[in-house]
Amino acid sequence: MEIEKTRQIIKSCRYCLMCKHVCPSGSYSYFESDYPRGRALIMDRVLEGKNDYTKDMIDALYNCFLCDSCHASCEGDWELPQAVRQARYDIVARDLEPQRAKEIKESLQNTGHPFVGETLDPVRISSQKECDLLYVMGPYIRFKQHDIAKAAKSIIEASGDCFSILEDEPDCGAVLDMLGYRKEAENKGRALFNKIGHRKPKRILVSDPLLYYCISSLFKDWGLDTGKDMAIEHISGYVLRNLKAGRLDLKKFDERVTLVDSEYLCRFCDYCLEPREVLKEVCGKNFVEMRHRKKQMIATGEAAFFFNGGKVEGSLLGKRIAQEAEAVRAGTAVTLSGTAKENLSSSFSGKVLEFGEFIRELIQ
Amino acid sequence: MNLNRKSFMFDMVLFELQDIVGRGNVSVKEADKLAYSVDYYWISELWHDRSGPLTTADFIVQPQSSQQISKIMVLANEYKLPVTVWGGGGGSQGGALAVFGGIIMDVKKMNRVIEIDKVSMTVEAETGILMQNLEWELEKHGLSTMHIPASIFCSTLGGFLAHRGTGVLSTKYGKMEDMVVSMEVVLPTGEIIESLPVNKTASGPDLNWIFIGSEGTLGVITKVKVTVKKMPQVRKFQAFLYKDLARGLEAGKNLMHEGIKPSVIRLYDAEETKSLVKRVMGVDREGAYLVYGVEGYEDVVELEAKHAYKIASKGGEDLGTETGKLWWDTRYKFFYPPYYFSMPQAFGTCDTVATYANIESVYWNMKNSVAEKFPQARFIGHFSHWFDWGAMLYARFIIDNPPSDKHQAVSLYNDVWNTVIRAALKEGGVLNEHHGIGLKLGRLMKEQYGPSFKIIKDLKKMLDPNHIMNPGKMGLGVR
Ligand SMILES: Cc1cc2nc3c(=O)[nH]c(=O)nc-3n(C[C@H](O)[C@H](O)[C@H](O)COP(=O)(O)OP(=O)(O)OC[C@H]3O[C@@H](n4cnc5c(N)ncnc54)[C@H](O)[C@@H]3O)c2cc1C
Ligand code: SF4
Ligand code: SF4
Repeated sequence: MEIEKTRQIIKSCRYCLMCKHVCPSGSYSYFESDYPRGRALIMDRVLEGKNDYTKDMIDALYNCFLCDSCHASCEGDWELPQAVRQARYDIVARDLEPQRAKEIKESLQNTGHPFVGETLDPVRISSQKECDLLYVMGPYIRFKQHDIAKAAKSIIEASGDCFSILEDEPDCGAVLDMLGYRKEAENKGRALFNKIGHRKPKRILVSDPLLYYCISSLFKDWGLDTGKDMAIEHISGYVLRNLKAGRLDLKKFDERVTLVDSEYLCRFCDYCLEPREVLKEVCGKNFVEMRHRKKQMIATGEAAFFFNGGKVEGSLLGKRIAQEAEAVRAGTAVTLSGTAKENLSSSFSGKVLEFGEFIRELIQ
Repeated sequence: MNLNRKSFMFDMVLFELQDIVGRGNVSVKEADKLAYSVDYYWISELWHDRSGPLTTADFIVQPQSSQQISKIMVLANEYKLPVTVWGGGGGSQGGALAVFGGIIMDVKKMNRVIEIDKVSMTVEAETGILMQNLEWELEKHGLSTMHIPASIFCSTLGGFLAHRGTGVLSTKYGKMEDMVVSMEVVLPTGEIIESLPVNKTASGPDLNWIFIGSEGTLGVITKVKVTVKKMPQVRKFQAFLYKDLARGLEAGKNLMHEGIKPSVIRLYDAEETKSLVKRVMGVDREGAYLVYGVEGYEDVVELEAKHAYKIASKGGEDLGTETGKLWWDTRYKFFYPPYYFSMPQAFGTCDTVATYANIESVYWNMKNSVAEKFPQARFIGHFSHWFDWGAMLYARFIIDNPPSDKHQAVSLYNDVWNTVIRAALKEGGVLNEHHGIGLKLGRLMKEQYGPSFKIIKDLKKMLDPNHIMNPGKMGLGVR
């Protein structure tokens, strides 16, 4: 059993309540099985052979948004989401995963995107063939959040760079891995890795936090080494570098703005600084931080794929972030993912823009 | 009534509950039954750890209004179904466990902050709100209830009222119960009542006090208005080390009696200083570690700190303000694994309170009684809530290797509890100071109260004629 590898985490968390206040799935349903301790209790039963996974135990484990809020607030440094991921591997190995997970897998396999039942066209943006800079989108941006890709294109062009994109860009495998399909995820990752390798770019640029996490972290787990010659950069790092080098000229922004952190960039990849540096540069004192920020951020739901098999009500996740943004009287909230933007939009009274979209508006 | 899951009566009751609160707000899932079968009571953890059958509710229901709660109570009376209120599940006395099945009423969805009244300096909120969430709301206005317990992350406003909880700053600001102005309660028979709008009256008995500390046996506290304070300009801490507990206790008592109002005084006995203070804070000293805090306007704090220092330094070694602040910064760390005790250890927090005249002998009698009868147990303690007249002892016993047989482990556990509590009672202590009674200490209630326990029992009979609320708890038995 895969959860055996995380025995110590499960044993530590099973009677502990100290991260209840930060768990977004708990405060989504308020049922105890959706809090970190509830999940640990379930996994402990299975680990000790007292229970096999029942349908609703599986649901509870799939209701986890893998946001790392529990771990980020844990004085004992226990990585509960890691145990949940191992449990999902076990569940898939027994062919017991929720129907919705199967549907998402099939959608990713057949269409390259996770939006079950939707017929979607990939974004069309013009690029060049053999550039050192390769912009990789990930399925969310490629199929749904087209404007983020367009914003990135404007930024790259304003910085005077030439960039390429991948034809038929394969999914990187992050979503599959999170759903418990380890083998399929690795195969997808390998396909993307090979395609990137074929192009031999010097730099891979991404806007999507999940994709950044996938290439910089999961690829390593899968033994896929992008090597020293191929740097991976998030759009915020790219903007910062070009701003500093004087290659990107941005207008100053003179309204109050705040940053909505990303769990997959900041928490999982320790990439918290660059977006703030950019905002400080262009907004000066108008950049205001929320009470919960960086690793202590409120989860945005980047990996909230479904809940009890159904749709996640994103506005419920965005509500608390919106309240905090309003508490610092921000008129604009800059998010780092399209998901965060979506989840925040309906509850925030001000304007919500994804990072690249925000920067595009400032290009001189 | 027959609540066999396979009987159609089960579905009939389920349907009625769903009709009251909405389908998505009732759970009969195995996953939830498991999660609600363990609170912070050691025996519930033991039972889970040793594969005992789950002590579980038939229905887990999440009301969103007092009116819904009222309807649930009426229904529960009709079918004679037990109702156990669940707040954060952070109680250590087994109070939230549905030991006789029936309905668990999880009130966490009742979590609205209704009004922050900056004129009167009060906040009114629904009681299912996690204490930390309430504090975050208040923080936006520079305010705080000043009820800052270690379980702020996991326990609810209502839970603290139900258990008469105490936060770390209680020495200055009082226990949770001292902050109550008024409340709304749904009675076991379904009536929704309110206490008077203010509590300092000569208009008959204060109804708040019937429900404060009643642990879900006399009604559901649904809304409460509590006082709030402005955040202090500065918060200062100072640590001292005393050769022995007696000297530390003397210093603590003097701090309370010389007109200073410390926000906190915390005195660890030598064993806890040597073990937990060292492990969590990295302060490796022999003796009794004491930290106190003063807070408020900077200049007033300066002056208070000066006087406090003079008082505390008598017989104490100055460990500095940094070491004091370190305690404040690491105060939650004590409660996370691996710093906290955990299975397979058996452990219990036997907090009690007594006058200054008695508190030291309470400590020694508890400690000696454990040492004599249970040589396999360790006993540690600290004094963390100080009143004008006495102090609270937060004592703990720990047995590293309790019997592997769960029945024997329960028997040993209860035996230690009876011993240590009787030792406290003998010297003028009480069953508990801020964790409550629950299932854990119910059997000792009649011993503590003597003939006056009849008043509580009669109150129960009158308010809850069918004995549906939290049966088996607080020594009130079952119908
Ligand atoms: C790590 C940790 C540290 C702790 N530190 C402290 C501390 O510093 N100070 C302190 O005082 N306690 C502390 N406790 C104990 C615990 O937090 C308190 O006992 C708290 O009062 C329990 O509240 P809860 O919401 O978790 O209640 P639960 O455990 O859900 O319920 C406790 C009891 O209250 C009843 N109840 C709950 N809500 C209501 C309501 N609205 N109306 C009527 N009855 C209700 C329940 O039926 C049950 O009998 C700690 C616990 C933990 C886990
Ligand atoms: S992650 Fe840490 S705080 Fe959360 S349940 Fe586990 S041990 Fe407790
Ligand atoms: S990862 Fe997020 S959703 Fe999952 S248990 Fe931890 S805090 Fe809750």
